[in-house]
Amino acid sequence: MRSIINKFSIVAIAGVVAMTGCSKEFTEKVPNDAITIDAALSTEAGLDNALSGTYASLRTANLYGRNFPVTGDLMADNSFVETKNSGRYITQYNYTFIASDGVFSGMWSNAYRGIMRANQIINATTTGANVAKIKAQALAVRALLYFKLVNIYAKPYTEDPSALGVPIILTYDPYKLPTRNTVAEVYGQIVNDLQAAFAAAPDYRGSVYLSKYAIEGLLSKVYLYMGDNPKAKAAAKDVIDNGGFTLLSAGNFTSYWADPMGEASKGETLFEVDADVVNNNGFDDLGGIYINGYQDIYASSQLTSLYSTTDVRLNLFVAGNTKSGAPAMKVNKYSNAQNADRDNPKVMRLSEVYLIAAEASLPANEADALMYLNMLMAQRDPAFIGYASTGAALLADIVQERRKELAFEGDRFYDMNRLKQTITRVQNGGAITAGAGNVNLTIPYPDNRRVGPIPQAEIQANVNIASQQNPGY
Amino acid sequence: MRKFFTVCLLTLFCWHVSFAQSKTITGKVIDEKSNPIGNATVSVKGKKNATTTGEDGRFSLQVPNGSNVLQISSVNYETMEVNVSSNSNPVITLRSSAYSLNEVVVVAYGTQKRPNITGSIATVKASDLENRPFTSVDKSLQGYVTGLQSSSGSGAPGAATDIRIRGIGSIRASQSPLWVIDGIIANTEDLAANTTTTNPLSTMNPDDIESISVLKDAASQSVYGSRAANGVILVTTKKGRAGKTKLNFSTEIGQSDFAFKPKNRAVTTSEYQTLLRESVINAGYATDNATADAFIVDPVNGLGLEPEYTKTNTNWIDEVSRKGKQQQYNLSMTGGDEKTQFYAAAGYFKQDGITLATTFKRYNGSISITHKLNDKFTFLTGLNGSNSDQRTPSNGGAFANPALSSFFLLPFTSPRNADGSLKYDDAQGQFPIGGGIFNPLVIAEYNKNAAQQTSLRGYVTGEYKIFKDLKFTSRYSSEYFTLFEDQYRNPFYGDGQAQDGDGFTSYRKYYNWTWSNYFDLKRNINKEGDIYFDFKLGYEAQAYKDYLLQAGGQTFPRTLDLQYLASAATPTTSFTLPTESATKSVFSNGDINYKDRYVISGSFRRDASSVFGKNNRSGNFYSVGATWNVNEEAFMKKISLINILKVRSSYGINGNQSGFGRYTSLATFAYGQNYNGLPGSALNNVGNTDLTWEKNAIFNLGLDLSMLKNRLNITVEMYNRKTTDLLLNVPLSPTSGVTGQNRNVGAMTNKGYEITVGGRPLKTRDFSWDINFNLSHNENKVTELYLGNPVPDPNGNLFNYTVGHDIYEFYTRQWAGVDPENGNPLWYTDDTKSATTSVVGQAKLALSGLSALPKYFGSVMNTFTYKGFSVEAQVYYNFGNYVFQGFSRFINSDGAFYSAYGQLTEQLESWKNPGDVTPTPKLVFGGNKNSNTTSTRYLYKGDYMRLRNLQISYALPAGALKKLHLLSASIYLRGTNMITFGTDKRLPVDPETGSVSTGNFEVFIPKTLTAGVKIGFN
Repeated sequence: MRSIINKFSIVAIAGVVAMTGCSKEFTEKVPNDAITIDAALSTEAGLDNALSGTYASLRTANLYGRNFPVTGDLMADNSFVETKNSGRYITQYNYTFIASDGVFSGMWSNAYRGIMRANQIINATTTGANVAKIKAQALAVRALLYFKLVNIYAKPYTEDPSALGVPIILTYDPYKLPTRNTVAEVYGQIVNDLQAAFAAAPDYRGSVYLSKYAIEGLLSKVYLYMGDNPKAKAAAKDVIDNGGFTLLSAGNFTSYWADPMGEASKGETLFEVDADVVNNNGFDDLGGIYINGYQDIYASSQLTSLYSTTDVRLNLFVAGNTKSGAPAMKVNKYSNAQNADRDNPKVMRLSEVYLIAAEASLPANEADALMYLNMLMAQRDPAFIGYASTGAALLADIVQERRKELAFEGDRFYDMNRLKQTITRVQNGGAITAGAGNVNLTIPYPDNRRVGPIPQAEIQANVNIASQQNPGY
Repeated sequence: MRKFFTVCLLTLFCWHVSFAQSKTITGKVIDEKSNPIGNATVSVKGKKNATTTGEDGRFSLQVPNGSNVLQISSVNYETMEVNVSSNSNPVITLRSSAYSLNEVVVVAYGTQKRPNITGSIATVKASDLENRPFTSVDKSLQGYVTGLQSSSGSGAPGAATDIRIRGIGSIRASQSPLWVIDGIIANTEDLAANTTTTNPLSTMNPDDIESISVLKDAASQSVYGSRAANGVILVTTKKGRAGKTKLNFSTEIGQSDFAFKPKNRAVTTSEYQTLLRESVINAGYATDNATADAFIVDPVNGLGLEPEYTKTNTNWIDEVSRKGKQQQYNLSMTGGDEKTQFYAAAGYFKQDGITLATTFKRYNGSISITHKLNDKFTFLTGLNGSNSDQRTPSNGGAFANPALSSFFLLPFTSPRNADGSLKYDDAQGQFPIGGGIFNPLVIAEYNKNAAQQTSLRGYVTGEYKIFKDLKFTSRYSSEYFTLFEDQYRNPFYGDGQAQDGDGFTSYRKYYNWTWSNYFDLKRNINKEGDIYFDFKLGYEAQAYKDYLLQAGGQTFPRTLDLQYLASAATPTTSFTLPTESATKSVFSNGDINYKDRYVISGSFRRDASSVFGKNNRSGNFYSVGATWNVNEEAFMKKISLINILKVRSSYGINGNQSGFGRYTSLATFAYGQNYNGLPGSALNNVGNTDLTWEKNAIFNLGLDLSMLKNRLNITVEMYNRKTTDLLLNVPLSPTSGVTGQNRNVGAMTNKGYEITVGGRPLKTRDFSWDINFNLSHNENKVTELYLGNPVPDPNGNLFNYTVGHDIYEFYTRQWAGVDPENGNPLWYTDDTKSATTSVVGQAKLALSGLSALPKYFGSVMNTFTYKGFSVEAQVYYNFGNYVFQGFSRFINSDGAFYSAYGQLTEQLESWKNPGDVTPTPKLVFGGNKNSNTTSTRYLYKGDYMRLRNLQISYALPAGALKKLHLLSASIYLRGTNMITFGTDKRLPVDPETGSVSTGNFEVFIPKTLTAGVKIGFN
């Protein structure tokens, strides 16, 4: 009996050891690719990583990676979707989008995701020598995204600053259910953020980062969109005169666009979003929608007919056929869609700053306007003798050069909105045809559809915004 | 905990042991072929005196005076009763059971006799699993188990299979059952990074399996606690048998072809010409066939087809398919003495699928040893290892998918040039013209999609008999698994062309262990021995750790000889990441039995899992069950018509922790948001410290009836599963920068019944006929969602989970047919179906009332034996669901995709004149009012019946065996999936399309004809 008890004890003890051998930590596991929020933001190095993450948020195909630049042209008059398409961007082209539209939902949620990332940096209590510079860039990213949001989902400032804008979120709170601020409040926040960013901005360290004059360039564009031409001109002039950037020359024009790398020293680009061999949007890369991939969208003949034959910008188009065989001009501004290193979507170039300076010189100083415009034109169409127009014609020339210079960079639609212009399109060969449920060739201003829908996902998740949907959705 | 054990211990010592006067019976238990049956239970009828046979089949048992009847039972054999009043050395022959209510079945942490079971457990025996042309055992379960749906959308060798037990138990977490293989809480999740489908179960040779038990209710499952909610499948591998060493060898070869070729097939070139002419005329591009023909070949203003296009007619389905091949060899050896027994086996299995570039090859070996150190201590160990190679093409909408291309490619294009070489780059540009779907023959030959799986599963068990009635078991079981995937896409053509070829390699390794320690106490409580209990108490820990390594590169040399990343000029991906999870548990289950008449069972488990939020990491699970064996009542003894009448019921709660994601409860910043080559971090998960299990409450009621000397067996069961705390992603305001949070918020129910009828209508000395019919019915209903809002299916837009509806009710536009007046498409404007429209924008998405889940499924099996001959035929049936084929939108397109993609023959039934009632609208080149927009038009009835198994076999008689010096020998011819019938005549895909009935152009499902030989010898 005793030996039985002994043996039993041994076994029982083994059993108990087996039980207690597993301590509480046994069921506490943490991931190897993520850390707690506090740990991530507690050091300057961590904050710098978070800044990389904030920049990276701009790269998604929902934002600068594709949706921003594509819709900014397609919803205007620069491009068309061909009949044999992959189904992408049809509702934007046809103006049949509804509140649950994927593109509008994607831009909204991803822009706010970038803003959340920026907020976490801006609000971090970390100290260190470079913290202010890191925060300055986060402020600028936040401003940039609010600028895009307020232009996509609200009426232009030039029409009604007191109209509903977008909610201003400055802290991370996953449970907050905000209401919309006014357009003026959003612009106020943007200007404040850019000014604060400019004051603490880091020196230039390559075109894929926001630096002092890139921030000021953005500020000049914001002022232009607010209709505050004197401030826009002052900021643009400061960038041109003191920024140290060099206008892209006619000779370098084609190679500049063919190069997927960002600039390491000051050149044409004030700021662009990096997409490289490893971190890119794969098949959903920007150029894929145009020339090497889905190939759904082609340049409108309205646009291509504007370039003179001696204009270097014509080199960014390739004559060919749509997939269904109709002759069409292919957009070749982003030619590295399937290459290892991908094209960096451009956010702000010096050429645009010249165009801002030109436009913002009006109406006070037509001579300056012509000067800036013709400085740019000399590098785009060397055979061209230069503009000499005045008054409304000069503004129209500047706006047309904006269209030609910034085509497929996502500006045209927002220019037409702030200038309250009617969008008039033509039926291109091989394009989706006009008619009920298909393309609308004319979208007047104002029109409810010139302002995007607050996404259905937001309406459903946020009772406070449910009654603030834009009219028509 | 320690205190609890002390109490248990004391309690044990307090019991007093006593025996009545008795005699000793020694005997032997053998099977019909005179092989000893080890581990059979021999008990005295009506008393609790019992023993088990040794591996030599021998036993010795104290039988109280006055008792003369022994009951002998064993897994997979019919229970026998033997009178031993005149024979104290009986040799008892057990018949193997086709269907029995008396068998011994494997249950959680042990075995149990059927009459004592309160729960719902189905078993599948080895002979139903052996020598099947299936790469994994889960496919073999189709039709064998009521309440278990086994559906494989893909016929690819090595493909995963959807197993659903008693309906759908989750929305966002796993819906698959827990597999416990020799005690391992096994991983069966498809872990492939890049391969279309892989299946960890395919690393196991089904021939190594002794038995499978499927646990379907709370009483049987709940002891597995937080992992049991979707059912539990217990797999026990083969063990050694004592006696002279015996070898078994089996081999088979076979050939396969399409199980189902749709009547609604791809059109031929001349049919395509008819469609083109009609659509071009209707679109106004031409007025008659002559002008239409001119337009079709006009390269400038027309379609620009080759002028000679009608001279080519390619049957693409023939081009991408071939005759499949099948072979397997299995050799096993078993033997040993009373102290030590062993089983060793090796196998080779090879299957070439009927689609190009699909193949599976497996080598496996296994060994198990049982060793009795002494009367008290038994040691068991087993190891099962395998290596498999698999090739699987793309599926779905991938341009490289051969199944897709078999319908999408135009019949008037050819895969080959005139000189016979493969065509991929002709004068007009890429093949096919305009790009898109690739030439599947080039892809099959030039690209590679390989997966290699290596697995080792093993266990070490010590069993210690502390007392006669108290046993302690400690079992450490584990699985080591690696999955290597190699993808190469050539630089010349296809997906790799733009990158000058690319390669991707993924290596996943995991180690998963389970350590179980438990006491098992079996005791009589009273002196009469008619109250008996079995009580288990244990502790279990399980941990899973995996490691993922991935690398990719592009720009390969322009040769097909160099396919590994060593030759890629530009690296594009490098990634490594380990993840882990762990669960620890205390469990207990037991039952009390009074005179075999009344059995009450209960179980309890407390689990703590790393997957959940720190506030809710631990949870309790339990079950209670009761059985009334009416036939054991005195009043029933007179009714000789009824042999068994049993009523059983159970209720309990268990949980689901699988499929949550390992770290979803934690609020974290993740890296990988890199920018300009520098590491980037960002918030990636909101976290939820309250996150916990999905809870599943199951009520089960069952009735078992056996009549006419066990020649008619009937089991009827009904159940009600209520699942609450469903894991859902609750939408947050996107302005917060995060879009959702995982919370436990939803609920749903599954109610159903199951009927099994087994009978032996005919039985003579040489001839017998067995018939077995089973039927399962389940109804699913979502009962609660966050704020009652419908939840869109995260994997697509076919479903919109809605309170009050079946989870997989299709959500789409409601097709109202073709307008007989003008051939326009018509949709209902909404789900009231009160108005129709031919403007697609006015047709709302709505719940269709049509579900992807079958209303009824099951099988009918007939077995005829005459002397050595036997014929077995099993028909599987499935009714009441609808199959969605979304790709029909392109190939049943009414003109929208003419000259771009192949079309279905259904297009030929188009509207032509006012008054025509047709399924297909007027054909208009370029499209007829978006008639091909996704709608219920592309839902097809999912009903089908299939001759799943037809087997003719002949076993050599004893005389012949003796001459050949063999112990056993048989030959067989088996047809699998031979005939499919009862399908929707419009159905363009095989009706077996996985658990959500969605056609995705998977590898075609084969029918296979195999011939095999099995011999046993010393």
